[in-house]
Amino acid sequence: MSARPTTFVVGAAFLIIGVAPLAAALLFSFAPLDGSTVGSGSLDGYRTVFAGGRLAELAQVIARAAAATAIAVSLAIPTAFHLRQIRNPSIQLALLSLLLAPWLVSDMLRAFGWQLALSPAGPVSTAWAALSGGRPLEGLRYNHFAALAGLVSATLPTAVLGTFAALPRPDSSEWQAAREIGSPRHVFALLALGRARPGIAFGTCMTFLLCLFASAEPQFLDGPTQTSMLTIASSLSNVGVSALMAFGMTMLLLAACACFGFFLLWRAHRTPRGSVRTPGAESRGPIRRSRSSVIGAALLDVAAKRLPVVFTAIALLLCLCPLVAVSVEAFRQPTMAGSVWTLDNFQLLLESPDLTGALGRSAVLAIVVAALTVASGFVLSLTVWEPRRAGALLLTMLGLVLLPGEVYALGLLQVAKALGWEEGAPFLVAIAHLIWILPFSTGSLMLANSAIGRSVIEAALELGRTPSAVAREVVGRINRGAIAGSAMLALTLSLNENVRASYLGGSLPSLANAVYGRLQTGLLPENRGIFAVEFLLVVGAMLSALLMLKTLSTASRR
Amino acid sequence: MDTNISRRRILQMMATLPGLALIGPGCTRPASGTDVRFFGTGTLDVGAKGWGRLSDDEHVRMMFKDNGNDAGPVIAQMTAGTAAADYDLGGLLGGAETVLGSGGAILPWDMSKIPNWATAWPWAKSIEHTRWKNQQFGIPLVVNADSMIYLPDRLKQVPGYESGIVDSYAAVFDPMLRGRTAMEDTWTNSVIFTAIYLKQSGQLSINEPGNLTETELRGVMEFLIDRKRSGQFRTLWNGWEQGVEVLRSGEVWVMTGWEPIVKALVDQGINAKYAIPKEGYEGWSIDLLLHSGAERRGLVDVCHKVANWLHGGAYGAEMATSRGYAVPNSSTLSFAKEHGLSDTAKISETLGHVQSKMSGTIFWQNVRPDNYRLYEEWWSKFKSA
Repeated sequence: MSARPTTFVVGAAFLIIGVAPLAAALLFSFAPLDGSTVGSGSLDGYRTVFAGGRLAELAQVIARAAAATAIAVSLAIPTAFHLRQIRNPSIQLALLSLLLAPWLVSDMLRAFGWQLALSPAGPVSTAWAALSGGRPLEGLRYNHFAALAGLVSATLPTAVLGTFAALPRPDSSEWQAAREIGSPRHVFALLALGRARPGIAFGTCMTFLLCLFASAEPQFLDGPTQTSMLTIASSLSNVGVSALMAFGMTMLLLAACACFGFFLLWRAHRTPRGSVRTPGAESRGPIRRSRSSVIGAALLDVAAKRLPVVFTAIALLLCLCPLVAVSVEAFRQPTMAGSVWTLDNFQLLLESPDLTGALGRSAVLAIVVAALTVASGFVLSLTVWEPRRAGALLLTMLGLVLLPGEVYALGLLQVAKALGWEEGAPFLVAIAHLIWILPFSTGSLMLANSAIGRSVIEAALELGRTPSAVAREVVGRINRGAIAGSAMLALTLSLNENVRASYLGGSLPSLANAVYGRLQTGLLPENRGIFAVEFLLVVGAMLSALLMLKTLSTASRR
Repeated sequence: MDTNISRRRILQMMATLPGLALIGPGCTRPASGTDVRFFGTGTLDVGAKGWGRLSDDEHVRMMFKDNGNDAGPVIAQMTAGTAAADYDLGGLLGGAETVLGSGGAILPWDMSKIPNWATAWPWAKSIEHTRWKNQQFGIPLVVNADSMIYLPDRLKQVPGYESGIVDSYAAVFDPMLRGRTAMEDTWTNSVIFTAIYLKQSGQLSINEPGNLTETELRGVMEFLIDRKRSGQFRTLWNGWEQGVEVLRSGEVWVMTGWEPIVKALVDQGINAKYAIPKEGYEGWSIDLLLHSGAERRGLVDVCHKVANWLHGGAYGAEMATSRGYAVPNSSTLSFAKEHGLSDTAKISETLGHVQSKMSGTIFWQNVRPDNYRLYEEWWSKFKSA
């Protein structure tokens, strides 16, 4: 099916709008720092990237992203394992919606919410003081751990959904079979760590990428080392655009090296043909076991049963903590006499044409981007039955995601200028968002498609259905939930993206621009309207998500 | 999913969808008047009420967009991006005029078309970095002199600070206050503050704290890195909300920062003070820039009219009332008095306060010192230390 003209057209369009700005960025990276002669072969930009402490900064960012990813994935696997087994669809939907909620809030406000939650007067410190009878805690924020907590909370949904999507439905016979074969720990090992492996891999990659480019959490929660990709890119852009472009190219080179390294490792350690171990082979050990191993096994069984519930609770707590803090702010006005609880912030929002305008524009753009992303992602995900093509596609997409937002935006602007377009415009933001979000969307849909056997597709084609009918009526229908989830992901990522929207959007600010600006400069009373905006966004989106998931669930049961 | 709509038709419809964003709420234009697009530091925004007055007076609708205040990305957007063409006016921390003027991103002002400029305070007219090739590329729109914010009640507990008064930048670097101080997360402010302290305390020979030589910069940055490694700074604050929050919570007791933060803290019932440092203040200006986009859209004259209005008094009065900042001219107070504004006393106090600070020792901030690339390198070393 991946050989169909539509797939080629979408793939080619993606390559053009993705690779052309990349080529422009590459050309600019060899310009002198003052940008006077583009493509002159100057290496000044690259020298700048490696000067000062930038490599050390980059290493810190990568280490922080790796740590946050490890924690998020460790929490996500048992959480997804537990959520997948919930048989009551309403409860499952409600929990999933709560877990997805952090995505609905601007990353700046989410991080700001954590800052409030971890403040000495915040709920965590207050609860500690009440329980211990001691003083409120002061050291909870402005350190690496606070930044990690913020990042884990922000990316948990990605990690959970990746694993969740790769696990069989609760009514699937696979669960029954796994339970009959072995104890709870075997069910966990077989399904959560075995069957869901592609989902875990996808979730890990996506979580790492989101952590890598996160800037709000380090800015609001870290101590005096608040370095992030954004701060590195800002610093380099001040030195010269060629230095910024060289940074983007260096990131790609590093990614290519990492991919090659992983490939070599895989080659060196892959299981030789003919010696494939059957699942559960390690469990069929000698019949006589020592007492300690029996106790250990029993403990593992208890852990496999109980820990997923505990981890789900922790995941929900982490996801909801900043949301609650921001929601509370929607009803609070600080005054001389302390906090006053009021609805004034909603009034301020309604009276601010800038804020309502930004909200409206961003919502429209996000819906457009979500529609385009899901449509393109769905078409491109059909390559999943052609592993080589799918691999090449995913690698190209990964390359584009690894480009810092500023680099892609400036590259795209060079292409637009070359084509005679001199001003920023919403369609440029839509293109940039599409290119950035498409890998997330395509990857998640590929994951869902991989659960459909190739034989099913071939059977449908042999029955005389056209490939487009098979894509629509078989693949589309089976994976309706994944498509809706992918749309939701695209919508929220687009709604809250700041850098690309700022560079490409022209003179009309987006919601993310407005939130960022108002948090940065403060003082105008109407600025507190941003909390009201986000509160309404969360409530509205939660209700829509519940409604959507409920409809999907009903449809899939039918 | 039975449907009569073909896939091609759906794809065609989707391709037209981005156009919808153009007609989204907030994009509709008023029936009369001219739209002027302003890409400025958020500080310059006076909100719907403030810009409404411009609309009434000059029939100009101001479309304000926050530029993020970080000079690097703004310059990149102006020179390599489309910001110069997208907007008619800009507002950026002083010092970027040369690089933007030489790149053709901004145009020189015709000062004869801005009669209210005559009311500008003399020292504001003489700020060096606003001119390039003898032409006025930047018009100082907001000026102030920054120092430190501190919490007297907390400091009184610390030996050496029993009076509860801070009058030297030494407090920010004092080991007695280790972990209780902070600076802003940008070299444009933090390096000059450190340089002022080291120069005035005689620890380092520095000629101009706002424009350090390579050797001076090394000395300043090594001092800062040493202090950071010793755990002196609780954090590097970034943006308004965090600036208020670190002091409101009592986690930081003294930090270099913006004067309006004191106002916000006092409004929340917190005893906070702005220091009068014996070493002198850091002076800064946010300058009004004329983007090349104004010429493309034939709005150069309209922009001059707006610049004249901005220095006409109404904007200055709003700025002094809402943010506590001064537009450096005498027309602000005249306007407040003529119109009998209820905040006239407050406006007068703000302007007088800024004037008195400017009459003392001032070191001007510059976002583009001669060695700005080295500044960036050292700042990245500081961040990763």
